[in-house]
Order: sequence, then structure tokens, then C-alpha cells
Amino acid sequence: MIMAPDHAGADGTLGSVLVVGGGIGGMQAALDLAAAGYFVHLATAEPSIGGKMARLDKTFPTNDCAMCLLGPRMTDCQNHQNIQLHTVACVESLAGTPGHFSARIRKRARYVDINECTACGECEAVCPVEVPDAFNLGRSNRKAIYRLFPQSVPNKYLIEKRGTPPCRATCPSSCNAQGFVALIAGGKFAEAAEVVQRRVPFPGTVGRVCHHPCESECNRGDFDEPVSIAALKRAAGDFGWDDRPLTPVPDLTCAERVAVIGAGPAGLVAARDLRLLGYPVTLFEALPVAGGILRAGIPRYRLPADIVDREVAACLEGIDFRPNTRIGVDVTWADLRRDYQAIIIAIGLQKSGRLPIDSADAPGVVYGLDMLRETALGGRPEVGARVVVIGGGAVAMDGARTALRLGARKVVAACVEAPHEMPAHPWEVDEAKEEGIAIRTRWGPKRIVVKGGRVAGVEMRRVASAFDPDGRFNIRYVEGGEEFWPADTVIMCIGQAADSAFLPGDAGLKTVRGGMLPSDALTRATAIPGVFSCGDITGEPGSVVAAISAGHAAAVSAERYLNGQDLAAGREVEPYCKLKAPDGVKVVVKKRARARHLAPAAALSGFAEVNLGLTPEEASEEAKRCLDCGICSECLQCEKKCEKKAVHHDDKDEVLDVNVGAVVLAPGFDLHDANLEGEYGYGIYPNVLTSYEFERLLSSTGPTTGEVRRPSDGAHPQKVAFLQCVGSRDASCGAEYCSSICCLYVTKEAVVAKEHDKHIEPTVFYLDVRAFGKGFDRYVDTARDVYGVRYIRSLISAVREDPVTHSLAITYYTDKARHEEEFDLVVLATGARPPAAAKDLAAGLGFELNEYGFARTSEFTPVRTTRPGVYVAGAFRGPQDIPETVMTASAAAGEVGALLASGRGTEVRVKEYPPERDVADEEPRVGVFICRCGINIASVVDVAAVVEYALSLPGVAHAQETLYTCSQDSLKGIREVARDKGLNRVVVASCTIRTHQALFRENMREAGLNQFLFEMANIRDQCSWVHKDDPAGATTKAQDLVRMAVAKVKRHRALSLEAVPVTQRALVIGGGIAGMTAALLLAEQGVGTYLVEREPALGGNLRRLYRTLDGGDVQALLDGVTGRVAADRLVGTYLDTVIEDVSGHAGHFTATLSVGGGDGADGRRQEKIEFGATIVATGAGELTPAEYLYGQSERVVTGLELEEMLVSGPGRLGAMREVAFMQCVGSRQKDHDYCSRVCCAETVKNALELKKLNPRLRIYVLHRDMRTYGFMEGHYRRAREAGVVFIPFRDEEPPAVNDGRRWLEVAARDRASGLDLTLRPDLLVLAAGTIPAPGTKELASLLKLPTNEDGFFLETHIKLGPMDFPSQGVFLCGAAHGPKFISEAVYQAQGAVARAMGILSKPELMVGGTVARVDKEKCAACLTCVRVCPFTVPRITAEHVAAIAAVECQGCGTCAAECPGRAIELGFYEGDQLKAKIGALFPEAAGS
Amino acid sequence: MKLAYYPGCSLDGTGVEYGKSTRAVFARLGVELEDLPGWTCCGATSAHATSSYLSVALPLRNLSLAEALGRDVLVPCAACFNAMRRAGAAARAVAAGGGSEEERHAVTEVAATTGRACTGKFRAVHPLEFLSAGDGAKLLKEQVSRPLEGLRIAPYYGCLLLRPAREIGFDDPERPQSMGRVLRALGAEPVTWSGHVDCCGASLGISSPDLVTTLTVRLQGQARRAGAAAIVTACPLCQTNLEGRGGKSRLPVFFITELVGLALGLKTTRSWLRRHLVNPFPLLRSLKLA
Repeated sequence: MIMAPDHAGADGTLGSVLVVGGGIGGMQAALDLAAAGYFVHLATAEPSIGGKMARLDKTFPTNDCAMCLLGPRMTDCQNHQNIQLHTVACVESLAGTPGHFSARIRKRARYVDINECTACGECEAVCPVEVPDAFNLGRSNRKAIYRLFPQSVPNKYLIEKRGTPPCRATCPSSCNAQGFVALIAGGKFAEAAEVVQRRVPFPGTVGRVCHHPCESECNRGDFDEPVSIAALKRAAGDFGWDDRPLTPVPDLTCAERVAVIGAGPAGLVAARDLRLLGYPVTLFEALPVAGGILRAGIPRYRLPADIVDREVAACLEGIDFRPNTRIGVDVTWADLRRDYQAIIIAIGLQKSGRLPIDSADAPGVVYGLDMLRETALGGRPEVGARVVVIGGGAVAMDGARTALRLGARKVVAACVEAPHEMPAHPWEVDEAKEEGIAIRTRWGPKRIVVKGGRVAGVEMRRVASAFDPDGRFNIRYVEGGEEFWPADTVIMCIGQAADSAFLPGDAGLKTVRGGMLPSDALTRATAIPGVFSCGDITGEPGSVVAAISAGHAAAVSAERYLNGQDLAAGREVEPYCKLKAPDGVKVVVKKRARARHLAPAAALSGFAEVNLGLTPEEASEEAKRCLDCGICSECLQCEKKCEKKAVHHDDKDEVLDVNVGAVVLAPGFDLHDANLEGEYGYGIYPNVLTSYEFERLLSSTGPTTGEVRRPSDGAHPQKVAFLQCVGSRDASCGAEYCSSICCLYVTKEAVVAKEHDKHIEPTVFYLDVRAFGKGFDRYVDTARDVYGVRYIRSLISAVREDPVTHSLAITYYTDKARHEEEFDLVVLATGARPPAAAKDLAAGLGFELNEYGFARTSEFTPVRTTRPGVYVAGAFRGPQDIPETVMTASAAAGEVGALLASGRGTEVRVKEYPPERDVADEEPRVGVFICRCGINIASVVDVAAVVEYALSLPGVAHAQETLYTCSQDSLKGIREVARDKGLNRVVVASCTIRTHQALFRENMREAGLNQFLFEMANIRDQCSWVHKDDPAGATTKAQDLVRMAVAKVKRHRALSLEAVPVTQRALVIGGGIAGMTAALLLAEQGVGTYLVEREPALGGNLRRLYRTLDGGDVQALLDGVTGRVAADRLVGTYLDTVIEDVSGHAGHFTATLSVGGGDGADGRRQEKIEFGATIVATGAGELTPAEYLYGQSERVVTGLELEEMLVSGPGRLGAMREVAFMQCVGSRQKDHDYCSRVCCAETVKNALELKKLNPRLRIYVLHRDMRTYGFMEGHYRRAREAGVVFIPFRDEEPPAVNDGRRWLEVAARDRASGLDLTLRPDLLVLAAGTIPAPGTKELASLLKLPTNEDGFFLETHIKLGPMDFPSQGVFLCGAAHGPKFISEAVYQAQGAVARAMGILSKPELMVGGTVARVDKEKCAACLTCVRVCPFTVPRITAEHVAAIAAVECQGCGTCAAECPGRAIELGFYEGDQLKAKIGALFPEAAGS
Repeated sequence: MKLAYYPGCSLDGTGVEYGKSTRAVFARLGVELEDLPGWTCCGATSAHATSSYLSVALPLRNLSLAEALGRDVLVPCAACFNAMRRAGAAARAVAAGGGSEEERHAVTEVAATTGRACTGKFRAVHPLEFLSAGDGAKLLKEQVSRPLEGLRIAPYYGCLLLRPAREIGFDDPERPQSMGRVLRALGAEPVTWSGHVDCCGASLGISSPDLVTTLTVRLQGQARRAGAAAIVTACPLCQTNLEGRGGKSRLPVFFITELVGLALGLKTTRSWLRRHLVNPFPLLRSLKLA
């Protein structure tokens, strides 16, 4: 009957698949594909798989914990050897043809090596940067180094980086401002100082005098004021100073000697850098002290000497410092050239500039730099009572203020520039003014007036302009604008000059502009190789930070020069592109901290520091104003802390090209941005949340650990309002579609909230309750009737806040009246949006999106995109719930299976293991490995003591501790020890079997030992973590746990898995669209299929349908599919056939068919068939209405009957004036307490058809809720636009129908207006409900399958197992599962095929291990096991004993526990093993 | 910088201090205002209620005067601004070959009677729009000399200033931010409250005074409850309603330009504030702002 499959051609079709998206859809597709023999690349843009579901607290309608459902799925994905995870990865392009694609994946750098990271969390603890946690929708904070959520898979950390923040990017010396600011925010001053010192060795010094260009660029300035970065740098220096050298000075490892001339900031930095590289460095300084301008220029009241001295001293560590040494006098240039292989000149500008005016050297004229130097070094230059300072720069301001402190009474500073042109920084001018200095701008000196051999004053000239229009310095004076300013002292501060006289003329170095020694801007190289110049001497505009930067640059060049490397290579400066503040950053306006200053009187009495700086507390508060523009600040605390050295801050993105045969897209969906709905005040009123945020609020891993609290005051809310359709069914925001999931998730949230806090009174404001899924109506009814959730049908147009209580007022209309009600909390049910990546994905992979931005699919090929070979699953098809996502994901896997059938099994990884050693006769020799888990365990548990204890246990042949037992080197170590010491049992005391048992068992196999000779003791989660405060107790408990594990493992025996051959054929029951689709898809994969239909013809309900709502031609579809079934040699069709008997198990079933001749009861024959899997696709039927005069009046018809009338031509429809539709006939009522899902769309479709036929026809639709979910909402709108009138009625007020002479009379009460209406239609169309297909009950009993209370087949799990049954090898699809549209039946059928292929693709199934076994001798056939098994596996055999097929057993152990005769043992958890374990816990009891 | 200026009727009448403060503030900011020569009524709510043709044609005529000057036109009155902004949108729609029949008719008629075609190239600009973003915001930031520290104030936009969003479009009609930005630039503290875009009752003050009183009393109460010491608006009718009918103990209601004048240290500020129905001086004195 069924032909042998075509032999798979060697056409090079690839056997691997790319799945995009790590949510439940992506995981399902990956697992199905991997099970069916394909290699899967699973790429997700997130750091972990899990998707949206990982963020959910519970799932409807069963209120299961979402994470509990998801966790095992995630672990399966991670542990499957044929699934490779690519996290933080996006797919950029796709080339090639179906079967032969090449996809480009960009994997963003995680900066943490996922092979090394053990998720110990130490890095997270030290990370100073807190950012809003997107996982909790910003309702809590996380660190820059983080895991997405505690159960992340892979459970590895990563770092979020946005780029270089502007503060760091603009700092000439690249000081990591965000880094040290972040550390100060956490009070870590020493760490902050260390971060500063990486680039700026003098934090306290530079923090005081820097002109801080970083602050002008600080993004915080856009909100209020920039962060006081310089003041914080000072704080780092002042409070974080540690006299120990920060970087230990290394030994001298290099032979080449370096001379640095000048111990100013540039010279010190260059010398230090080279010394740290191991070069012997000599630093020459003319003055007796090091520090240059810092020590001998800047006045003490700005920069105390002790600060400079201690920071400079730290810098000089290891350097040969030669003070009082003048080049050209004490040491000659020739000496230097001879003795040193590289020379760095950093002598700065030491001479004051001079003016060519009369008497410029008269007594009483002093030069600014000289005076400052003398003062700074402790002298007290003489200053008269009246002082005139000439100059408008920093030196002039310092000179003027110094003069005041030296005794001057009146100081006037004159400069030629206008106020805004002054070279001094504005704050310098302000500080001078505050001290009483008069600043007169636009005045220049003409000549010094000398009387009696001393200065008597200056003749000044009024300046018209100091610069020409091109901005060049060019003074023009005002004619006749002269004035005489009396003065005892004149301080000249008009620029600085170089003193490079030490260079001999033949040195080969060119000086410019009076002694400046310019050098290359990038490399600091001069004309002589090996000689560099940096700092002010280069003549470039100077600042301390610029000098430091140049010092670093010179040091790099010197090292390169000495090593013969190119000086410039790779040092190009990237153009500056300012990094903006993070998106959506929320800033509470707060002015920057102001430092306290000495009172002017106190300030002027001496040289005490004027600016007192911030206190540590003020500094921390100020640092918290930082916006963390770069997210990660690269402070490197994590790198230091990580013992596994897994943090690599310089990681780069990786581009990967993978060859795959097909692509499955499951990137999920996004949620509507509630910020766009201003009328609800989201983002402004603290107590307005989105439903997604509320979900996190309910979650135990959420920001409030599951406690429902109002954001405004943390109070427990009582009245909570849920507003439906925020950003759904709303064309004004681009989403006229229905988001399908909100009605139910809101119901769930209301119920769960009520469960968390019984005082909560939830109210749901809705348009239609769209509870169209399986069990949904019952769920809503329970919410309303049992939990007291209030449902009010009203569209809410605005939310108002009471500004004092932050409660929210909502106005609504119901029962003909306007109500205003106050709520404590408002939750917005935000709608679904296409995923943000949709456009890029579509462009990169070359498929089309639909008008709403979701992937375009067509009705009868529901998981195909417009590009062949690229499939789509989940909410990227359009808004849908989890079961639909699972179905479409499996469907995509099914379709891929057909496409790549010839490549199946070609790329899977098969691992070879060494032969297993038989240890049955050996005495137990147990190896115990105690994990330190970094410090996760070791910081609490005394690991060494546990090791010692383990060694004392009988049977233990070896015990040791490991840093991380799960790391590759430790695993290798275990194998080696096992071999060397002949171990035959292994115990690992570490974390949990949930995540790690598979890894260690695998290691046992690699060590040539049976994988079941292994046991774990959880001394982390159940010991060190929960007993942090009791190390001694924790250690004792760890010893107890180890003792128990050892006692148990000694009794372990090798368990073997046995192969059960698979009959690679399938049975499909039901010949409707689902069954035919399944049969064809199986055949396409080369699986012979028996298609059994009880009717004499194929097609099922399709035979009565003509058009779909989207306009699809159903009859054409039917013809096409039946034609293909007839033609397919691998499909054996049995019409007029029923199944009489089925037996067997997954992989091998036998059934007896009763085949009719197609003409009635006579001539039936029996046929036996064998197959490996069964697909149930028996469909559903239409209810025959008993009400509304159906069958009594020919004016009353059902929807299907109307459809037939429409197809057969206008007929009597053409003459009608009014038609009414009645919804929910036999649905959502007593005895049929469920929604039939398809009728609303059916009615809209027929109403539109009728309008097309006769636009003047009056059409009324009487309904309870219009459930045109998803994209069908558009048709509902078109129907309203076409004039179809939709009248809602209350459940308890159903319309009444009477037959009249000329027309029907329908009396209804419109619930919107409360008006009583009487319709007089010519035709009443009843939307008759869907009921299970006849025979369902019998079939269910024959196949031992469960059904639900409505008579439809009941799947294993309503969310995650929509196509599975508890019995292995039997799968479900189509309307047999529940009412469905054609497209839904198609994808579920395709999905069922993928599930079945998990069995049928394998030649044999490996079964055994942790399964239950029955001891026939002890079994009394009491049926206990049969009753308690949740999977209906145990059977009573002909020998009258229970039998548990290993292939079906799930290993839950329920039967073993319940068996009164102890006739059942569960492998790996056998009675004596458990007794030994418990006995070990209570040794005294066991001994007695 | 130079802008055309359209005073409208209320800025010479009930809202005279709005007009004066606008002129003074813009002069200080260095923005020259040139009155539209021969400006006429914008049509206000009467034209809108009686003839959709007139409701476009009247403002269009004024807009065509601005087009002749070749400048955008500053329009402080929210109603005038609304009318002229919508007329501009209509003119642009017509110029692009669209627009409704009445709009096309109005554009043709205005062109025929004035001899000048109006393409909508030059736009009506509201002072708030100008001051809250771009050059205006920059000028303002530079010139504030007497920050309004301690002034907690409720920004009130009313209904006409921002709706319909598609035509007016300088701020979100449900969640406007522009007044808050200006107030913060002035050193004042805008409060968050729910009444900011509600209706004050507008011209129903004449036909249904009770209704207007209900609305204004509610608004005054909400602003007070939100902790505001005053309200600020940019519409002469809102100001009149809120100060004139806001119940027994009313908060003073400022025009935004008056506050700008205060913060810029303009000496004439006192003369405008003296005209208010609710005396603002006790409040200003308590904050040392007057």
C-alpha cells in the first residue's frame, strides 16, 4: 500500500538550520529540529535565551509559573549537543538558495569569556555603575556587568558598553572620568584614585588646577549642570590617597637608558611611564624640587605644596632624580647624548615675556613667573601697597592675588583684551574679583613711570581693539586715551618664554619663536631621532592635562624608538563624535555640589588653600549625578576581581558566517510604547504602569519580589484599574489590529494580584473580552465570579491624577450614566508591536513585512515568509499567545524538515566515548571533588575541612578541592584522577543538578565510567548561600551532604540504555485539512503515512466552506490538497475506515483498521498496520441549534448554510431588505462553556459578502463580544464602515425571536445605550457553535487519550505542549484540539509532524536509565501504579502483572513511591540507595 | 532677527498686558517685530462656527500679508494662532494640489481680492513655540538675569494652543512640555498636574457662565492642590476666565511673556501686572521677585 521512500539524493542539501530568536518559539523550533536530526544555530539578540516568557510571572489560563515551565526548556536547549547558542547576536544577511544558504551573524562582544565565567557574581558586586534594569522595565537597577536574570541561559555575565563617554573622550590625557566618578558614588575613593592615576598620576593636584574641558562636554549639562568632575578628581586624590605605590615598580629589565629633562608634569609622566616599562630613567631638574609649574608656579592658596609633594614623590619611585641639575651647566648636552639612548625634553616655559617699553627693568617692576616661583618655594618677594598687574591671563590673576597676600593694599589688573577675550578662565577672573582685585579691561601700558629710581606708576593707554577682524592679535589704541595709574609695584604677566639656551648650536634641534622646541603632534619626535620634546616647551597651547598627555605620548615613542618600531603606526586619533546621554535617562533636577571656600578675610591673610573642596559625603552625592553615558565605565574593578580572569574589556564584536539549509525566524514582538499615550499620563504619574511592568511587580524575581506596591509611596494598592487596548485596535497609533493576548494577560494579572494580596480590587475597562482560546472563557468567568474581578465595558479617554495622593481618577460611562471613580493604581494593557529588529531583519534576509510591520505570510502557508527557505514562527507572524507560538515554531521545524529531508543527519554531532569499564565486581572507590566555586562556597564553607572529612569516609579513595569543578581543566583533572586511582564512583559537591548534572555525567562517560555512577551534593545553593552568616554550621552541613552523597553513590549500579527500534511510518487519523497537511508533510520527509478517514471522502469541514475572511479560495485549496494526497506514493489513504484497536508504544504501534467499501456497512475488511507515531486530527463539527426557531422557520439558518446560499448565487438573498446575525448560539453557554473562536470572523465575512451583493441591505449583528482578534480586526472595521450595525447585548439579556407573517421579529436590548430595539429581518443567521467531532470520545478511549470537559482532546500542557499527549508517540492537531481557523489547523498539523519526526527520524530510541521497573514476583496487580501515573504508562499485562514500558516512562517516581508491595524501583533512586542516603544523615538512628 | 507680528483684537483689549509684554520681551531678546500692515480679524470662533469658508479665508488674508513681508508671523493669542496655523496648513495643502473644496475656494478668493497668492510658505509662530526651542530658547537662556526662584507654577495650555496636533504640531497635545521648558529656563518650578490641557470654557463664558465657572473653579482648585502658587497661560481668553471666574480664592494667572519679562528684569513688568484681576504682587513679593 505504502511505497518505500525515495532514497535521499546526495544533492548537497545542508543539514543545519539557523533559528533567529531565543524565546519560547525559537527554543521550540531548535529543539524539534535538533531532535529530528538537524544541527541548529540558535541566535538571539539578548544575552540569554528565554525571551518574553522569562519576564512573565504566571501564564494563563492555568496560572503556572512561567519560569518553572521555561527553565527545563532552556536547559534542554543549552545541553543539546546539536544546538549551538549564539547570544547577543544578530543576523545581518542571508545569501544563497533554500538548502544552501550562508548567513552572516554578528555577535556583539560580551567582554566576558562565557567558557570561563562561572556566574559567581563577584564582578557584579564590585561594579560601581548602576543602570536601570531593562529586564524589570527600568523599575529596578542593575550593574554595567550583569546577567539578564538569575536563571539566565547561558548563565554567564556580560558587560554593557555604549562607547567612550564625552568626559573621557575630551580629556586631553584621556582620564577615565566616568570610571572614577562611579567609584566615588559608591564611596570607593582609593579605587577612584587608582583609576585617575592610570592616566593622571597626580589626582589631588590636577583635580585642583585642571581647566576641566570634560565638564563643558558633560551630558548632564543638558539637564541642569555638568557633574563637578574636577572637584571629584580632587576628592579621589584627597580621600583615596594611599602612600603605597599604586603600580609596583618593576625591576629594571631594559638596558637602554633614558634621560628626561624637566620634572614638570610632562617630564614626570614620561619618566614614570618608561620606568614602569623597566627602563632606567634619569630625571634632571634645575630646581631643588620636582613638580615644575605645579610646585613652583601655581600659588599655594590654589594648590598646597604637601599635596604636590606627596603625589610627585610617588611618581618618582624608582627614578634616578637629579635636582638642582642644570643641563648645559652641570651636565652637558654631549654628556646626555653619550650616556642616554633616548632623551625627552620637557623643560616647560620658565621665562616671563617682556614688553619693549621704557623702564621695564626699573626697581619695583617684577615679573610674574619669577614672583610666583619665589613665593611658591617659600620666599616672600617684596610688594608695595599699590600694585598694577599687567596681563589678563592665569599668571596675571595668580600674580594679583599673590600680591594681595604679600601685603599689597590695592591691586589693579590691566589687560588689553575685552572681558570676553581675556585668556584667563572666567572662574579665575571671578575669584580674583571676589578678593577685591580691580580688573580693568582694554587698557595697555605705554611706559613705566619712574620717580626717584623706583616705580611710581604706569602710563596706560585705552585700547580700541586687541584683535583684528581675522582674530589676530593686533592692538589699536584710542587716540588720546592716556591715563596715569600710580603704583609702587608693577607685576608684568604678559606671556611666557622658553629657556633653551642649554642646547648647543650644533645640536641639530631647531628652536622657533624664541626658544620653543616643537615636536610632532602625534609622536612628540623632534628632528633628531631619539630626542623628544613635550609639554609647554613645544609651544603648543598648554594645560596640565595636555602636558600629561604629551608626556605619555613621548614615553610611548621613546619605547618604540628603543625597540626599533615605527613611531606613528596605529596611533591615529579617531575623530571625536560625542556620545549622547543614554536614551530614556530620567533625571531629577539637582544642582551640582559647590565646594566651601575660605572667608575672604581668612583667605587673604596667608597662603592657606581657599577652595576647601567637597567632603567625602558631598563628593559621593555629587558623583551620583553622573548619567553613566558609557554604561560600563571601564574602571576595571571587575577584571581585577575575577579569579577566573574571564573579563576581557578589549573584546571585539565577532562576525560569523554559517552555512545553513534553512532559516526560522522567531524574534518575537515588542510592546507598544505607553509614553506615546499622553492621555494616560504614563511616565508622568508614578502610579500608572504598563501591564508588563505590573507583571514584573507580581514576579518574585521582580523589583518588589512579588509584592504589589505603588511606585509613588510603596503602599499596597487596593483599587487597581486595568485599561485595555492601549495601542491596540487604534489606527491613530498605527495598530488597528487586535493584540490578541491582552484580555487574558490582564485577567491573569488581576487574578494573580488578588492572590498576592486579597485586599486588591481589580477593575478591567475593556471594549470586548476576547477570550477566544481553549479554556479562556472559563478563566475569565472564574476571574469575575470567584475572584471578584470587575469588568466594565467602557473606553477610557483620560486618566487624571490627584497631585497630593497620586491616586488616579477615571471617568467612564456605563448603565446610561457617567461615573467618576478613583483608583490607587492604573495598569495599561499595552499592545503588541513588531519586534524592533523587524525592518533590519527583513532588509538583511530579503523577505517582506506586512502593512503592520510583521512578517508577511499567507493564509494557507502560515509559517512561510515571502523568501523560500525562510520560515517564521511566533509573534513575529502577528500577535499571538504562547501555544500558537509553540505550534508555529514546531510547524516551521516541520516545514524545514521537509525542505532539508535529504540533509537530515548529515551535520549532527555524534560523540565517541571510550568503552565503559565494568565495575560491578569492584569494591566502591569513590572520588569526591569539593568545589570552591571561586569564593561562592569557599568564603562560607571551610572547603579544606570538608575535603579532609571526605577522606575519612569509608570507601572514599580520593578527595580534593577544585576552584571551579565545572571548568574544563577541572573536568580533565577528574578524568585523570579516575584513571590513575582507579575510581569507580564520583561525587561532586558543588551547585545544583538542575544546571550541572548533565555536564558531569558527560564527563563520566568520557572517563570510561557509567554515567549513573555519579552523585552531586549541593553545597552552594543549599548551603553556602543560605547559611552565609553561619560558616561553622555551613561547613558541618556541607560535610553531612557529602557523607550522604557518598553513602548513596556507593550503592549505585551501572544502568544501561537500550535501543528500541523505530518503525519509521506514521498513522494520521482524520482526513480534513489538518490530517491531509500532516500526511503530506510526513511524506515529504520520506515517512510513509497511513491516512485514515471515517467518511467516504477527504476534506472534512472544508467541503462546506468557500471563502475565508481574507478572501482565500477554500475549494481550490481543498482540490489542491486532495489531489496531492491522491498522487503521493508515500500516503496510503483509507476512506470509510475506523480504527478498531491500537497497541504498542512510541516507536512501534500496531493498529487494526476496519475498512469499508465506501458504500455502507457491507463488505468491511480488517487490516493490520504498524507505525512509530500517531497524529490525531479528527476535527470538529457544527452544533445544530435548538433555539431561535432554528428548524422551525426557514428564515432562520446557520452561518454555514448562509455561506452555501451565498455561493449558489443571489437567489432569495437578492430580494431581502434586512438580515440579522445572532452570535454565540451554542457557545459560551451552559453545556458549551467555551468560545467557538471562528464565528465572529465568519459573521463579519458573510456580512461583508451580503453588503457586496446588496449594499442597501440593512445588516445587524447581535453579539456579546466581537472576537475578531489579530489582523481580523481590520475586517471588523471594514464591516462597520460598510454600514453593518453591531449591537452588543448582555449575556443575561439574550434577544428574543418570533416568527411573523412577513418577517421575523427580533427583540434585543442594546447594552451600550440601554435601548430596547426590535429588528424585523427577512433572515436570521445563527452563528452555531463548534463541537467535538462525533466519535471523539470512543477514539479517546481506544487510544487512552484524555479529553477536556468540553469533549475536545486534552494536550499535555495547554501552553508548552499543545501538540503532545502524555502518551509518547501520539500527537494532536486541528480542530480536534479546539475550534480553529484553516490556517491554524494547518500550522498545528505541520507542528505535529515536527513533533512526530523527533521519533520517526531515528532508527532507534535509547531508553532506560532513570525509569521505573516492575519486579514481577512482587507485583499483585493492585492497579495503584496504573491509577497514580500522571502519564498513563503502566499497563496490566496478560500475565496479570504491571508493566512499565521504559520507552514511555518519564522517571517521575510516583509509582515507585506509591507501590504498596515495593514491586517498583526507579533507576538511580532505588530504595536501598535512598535508605543509605538517609541513613548517612542520621548515623546514630541507622546504627541503632 | 526679525518677525512679522499679528496682535489680534484681544491683545489690544482684555489681554493688553499679554501684547505689551510680548513686544517688550521680544525687543529685549533682540527680535524685531513688524506689525502686519492692515491686519484684520482672524475670524475667531465666530467664523469657525458659521462658515468654514470664512474660517479659512479670514486668517488666510492675514497670512498673505506675512507672505508679502517675507517673514514668519508671531501670533500670541491662542485662538488667532490656531486659526492662522490651520489656514497655513490649508494653503499648503492647496498649493500641493489637495485641500478641501472650501479651502481651495478660500485660497483662490483671497488671492483674487488681495492680489497676492498665499502658499503657506511663511507660518504663524507662537511666542511659546519660539521661546521653548531653538534660537529663542538660546536667546532666553542667555538673557535671564533675575531667575524666578521659588515660584511653583502650573503650566496651563488650554485647548486651542496645541490642537489639532497635525496642524498645530509644536508640542504633544496630551503631554506638552514647551511651557515647562521655558519656565525652567526662567528658574521657576513647573508643577505636574492633570488640568494642563483641559478646557477653560472659552467663549461659553458669555452664553453659559455657570458652566465656565464650574470648569475654572475645578482648574484653580487642581492647580492649588498640585502645590502651585500661580498659573501661567498663553491665551487671553484662558487668562480672563481663570482669573475672572475661578472661584473665591484664586491663584494669580500670568501670561508666559509676563514671567519672561520678570526674569529678564524688564522694568515695565510692574505696569502689566497691575492690570490683573488677581493681584500677583503679594505672591511675587513673598518670593522677593517684585
